[in-house]
Amino acid sequence: MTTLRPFRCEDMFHFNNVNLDPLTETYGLLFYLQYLAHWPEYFQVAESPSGVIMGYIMGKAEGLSENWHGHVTALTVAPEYRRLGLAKQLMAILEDISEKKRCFFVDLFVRVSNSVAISMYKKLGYIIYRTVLQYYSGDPDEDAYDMRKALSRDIQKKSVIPLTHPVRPEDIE
Amino acid sequence: MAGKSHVDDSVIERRLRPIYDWLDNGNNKKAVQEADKVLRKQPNLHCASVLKALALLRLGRNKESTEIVNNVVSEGTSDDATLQALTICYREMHQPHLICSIYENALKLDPTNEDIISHLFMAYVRVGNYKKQQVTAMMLYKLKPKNPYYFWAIMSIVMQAHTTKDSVSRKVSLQLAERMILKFVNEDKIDSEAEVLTYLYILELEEKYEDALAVLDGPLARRIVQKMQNFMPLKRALYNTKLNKFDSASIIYMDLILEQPDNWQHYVFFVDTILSMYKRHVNAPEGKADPLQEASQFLTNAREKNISLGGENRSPFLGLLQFALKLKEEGLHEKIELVCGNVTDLLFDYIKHIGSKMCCYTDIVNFLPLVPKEETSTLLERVFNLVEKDANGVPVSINHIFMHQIGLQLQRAFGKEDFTETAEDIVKFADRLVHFYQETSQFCAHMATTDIKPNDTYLILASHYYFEALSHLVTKISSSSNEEQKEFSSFASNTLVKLCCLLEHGIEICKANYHLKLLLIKAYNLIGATSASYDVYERLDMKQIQVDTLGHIMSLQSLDTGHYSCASTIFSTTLKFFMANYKDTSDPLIMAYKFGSLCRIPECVEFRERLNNSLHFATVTAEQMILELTSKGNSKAELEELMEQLDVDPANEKTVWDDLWDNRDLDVMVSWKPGDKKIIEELKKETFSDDVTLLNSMVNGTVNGACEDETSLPATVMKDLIDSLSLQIQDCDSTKKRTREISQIPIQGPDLARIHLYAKGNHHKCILKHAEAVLRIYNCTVGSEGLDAWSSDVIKGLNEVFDQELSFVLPHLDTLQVLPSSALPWLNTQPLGHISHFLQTVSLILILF
Repeated sequence: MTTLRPFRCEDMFHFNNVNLDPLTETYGLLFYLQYLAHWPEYFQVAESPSGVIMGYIMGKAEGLSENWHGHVTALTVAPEYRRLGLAKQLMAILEDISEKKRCFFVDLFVRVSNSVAISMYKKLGYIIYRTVLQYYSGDPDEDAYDMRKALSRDIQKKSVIPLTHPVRPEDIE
Repeated sequence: MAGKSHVDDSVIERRLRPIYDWLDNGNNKKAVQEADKVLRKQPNLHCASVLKALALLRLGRNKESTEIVNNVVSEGTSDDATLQALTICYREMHQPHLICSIYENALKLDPTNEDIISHLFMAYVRVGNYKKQQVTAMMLYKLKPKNPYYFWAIMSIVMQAHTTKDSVSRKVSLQLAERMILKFVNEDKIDSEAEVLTYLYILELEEKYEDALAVLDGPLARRIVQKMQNFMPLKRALYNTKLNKFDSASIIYMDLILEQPDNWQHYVFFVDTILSMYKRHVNAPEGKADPLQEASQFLTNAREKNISLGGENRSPFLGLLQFALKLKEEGLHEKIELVCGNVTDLLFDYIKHIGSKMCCYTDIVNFLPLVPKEETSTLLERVFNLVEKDANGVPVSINHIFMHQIGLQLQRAFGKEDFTETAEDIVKFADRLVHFYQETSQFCAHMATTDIKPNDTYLILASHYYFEALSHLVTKISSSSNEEQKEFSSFASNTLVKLCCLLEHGIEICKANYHLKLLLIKAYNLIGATSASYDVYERLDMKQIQVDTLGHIMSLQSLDTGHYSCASTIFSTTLKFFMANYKDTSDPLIMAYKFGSLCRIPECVEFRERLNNSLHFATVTAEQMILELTSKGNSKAELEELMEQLDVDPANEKTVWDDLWDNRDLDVMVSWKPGDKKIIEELKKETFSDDVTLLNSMVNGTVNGACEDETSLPATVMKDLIDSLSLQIQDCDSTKKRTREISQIPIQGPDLARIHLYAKGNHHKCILKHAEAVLRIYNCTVGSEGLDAWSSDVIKGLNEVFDQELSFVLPHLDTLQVLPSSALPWLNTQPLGHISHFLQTVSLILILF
């Protein structure tokens, strides 16, 4: 019961029902616009039949040689539409496009305390690749898990061999 | 090269580095010092001068900064680093057109520099000069024949087509763009997805769908590799539909539905196509299969297949209902039952499957008009029967809570609540909902604090009913006898206090629920309790674009209730957002060219304009100016300084009234009453036009009037202002005649337009009379009329109009209520509004003199 379509600028005028949720950050316009300008295919929205925005995903592709990968920058679903498999559908699009871009893997960062999201990503085949110390600033700072899923191009699944030691944010490539 | 003298590049780089670092760290003072140090060694190093200017600019020392910049520019430079630093300066000075000039001049010094031409192109992008963009892109292409440059030129032509209002020149531009691409196609030079997409985009604009289909069928389509799975089929189906080849289109949509059974848009397009096909086949020769029957069969199969697979997808359940809805919209009522079966049964079936999820109501809301009136009661009964309840009538689990709520939501939608339309009954009904809220909280206790609690919907529904009861009571109070009035008033106060307490409680339990916060802000605003509503507003944590789309909920209200510091805080956040946007949003446009997202450019440009022309932006700007003028100018010198800072120029006022946009998001508050939605849409249009009228009068009458300065402005400008002010008074008066009863406005709707309250006073007339007096004094003293033309009647007239104003506003002071037990909706907001308008008028008159 969802229309999945590319995000449009004008969606920002009525994504409040998603973004007023305290877990969803409302960024400066520049942030959204630069994703639209640079990686338009990675910015997708889920819309209900009555035109309400249910959630959206933003991502990008970056990295050199075997580190060329798709990255999930933001994934959010409005509280009313959770537990309907929406995040899974949005992630599938991002993975599909990353395959088409010949990426080696897809990765994302998640707060270590966000157990709901972590277990969902695990179900989608993501593993905890490494811990990034104090990645989220706040009081106190919080660690992030860098979670990954290998794509078909990474035949030997080299990208998803977990690191044994945590890393600092400045060490992330 | 000017500015570089003989010093080696790497030395310069090393010397400048610390200045850049200080600037990046925001330590502008240090940056100035460092720049001075470098300039002592190398006085004509332009880049250091400009970086110093940038630091000075950021320190607010605009004059010194501009002087340095002008010096460098007058000497001329084509040094990349200097030009880039100048670009940043001009961006921060909000003078993007000067970026074009510096690169134009640089190009004269260094005519074959690819970087300079490329920067010049980007400079034109910033100011939207599409013609010059085109010329510059071609210049680049001739210098270095790279595909992107050629396509920059093409897109610049498309943008010219996009902005022209003349259909002939639009056509000519698009033809030129297409021809340029064709040339590339024929020479086999197309090599990226972005180029093919641009080609398709142009063909779509030209409505050349045959050609577009040919592109999809030809070798170019192979370049499209990074789009979503349904991208190509959707394009193909769209083109077929445009060419009236509905058969082909419907086949594509059917395939899409089979491939992606839960992507709803495919069903919508499919049904539309079928109906178009039906309309064409209606008189077709017999023997041709009935497209309606075929489609019905297809949608039925999709539904059954979904059920056999466990009913995981929601869309297949609703395909037939969408079909029924479109048949209804096309006036084919008699076909509905025949083709789709019993719609009430379909709807019930959906509720049975999905009703235990929170999203059910928004899924089906569009289809509710399909249910015949006489069947609504039975449908409700069937839905309520699905709810399993305990001995006390409380749903037994979260699933059943949702099911119960969908019943209540439908009950509200159909207007089938079991109460008579009296306030007492409505409140009793709402109390029962609160009872459900409380009794079901045990099921929600374990849930994450970041989730909306399932039982919150009871509280939201209850609030809607409480607000409705209050509306009833307000009408009653105004039309009843003294004794009854007391009784109704106390009932209303009690209800209002109860409502606020319940919402405060609800927010405490569930911090994630923004619906409750929005309702509470509305409730506090009703009684003019701005401090309280501001407190909730802060908990909403609105930022960035939300200050535009949701600013209507809480911003000007604080001004009208006289909470000036609160208003000032909100205004400054709001203006900061808009000013940053003005500066920032050209960068993504530049990126779109660089990364080849050419088709997204028109959309980005439109978005930018919509923000820059936001009515909320314009209103807050004007109100902020008045607020500054009336609250901060304590002496003539201070006032003059303020006016200079505000930079108001009445003679060249250039607001384009027709271009203003209404960016308010009025859908964010949920309503389960379809009738309300219609009223809200009407109100949105109405309040928008009223707000434009008020803004117009503020800008033309008040702001400009106050900023007029008889020594520097000719009396004619003052005269023009007086004339326009008189016109505004007429506009205001005509709005006054079209007042709506406040109690008719649904709580989810916009607040009553502010002009209504304003127009009730004599503020405009008062300002007008005083402005006329100022003009008279000017003409008697400085102007041509001479002292003989003076008459004491002028002052007498002023006294009269001022007394009138005073006698209008004073009684309002007595009606202010300060105890919660006497708080009534709208009781305080109106007198507070009148008083703050009066104070504003008095201040403006003082400034005038």
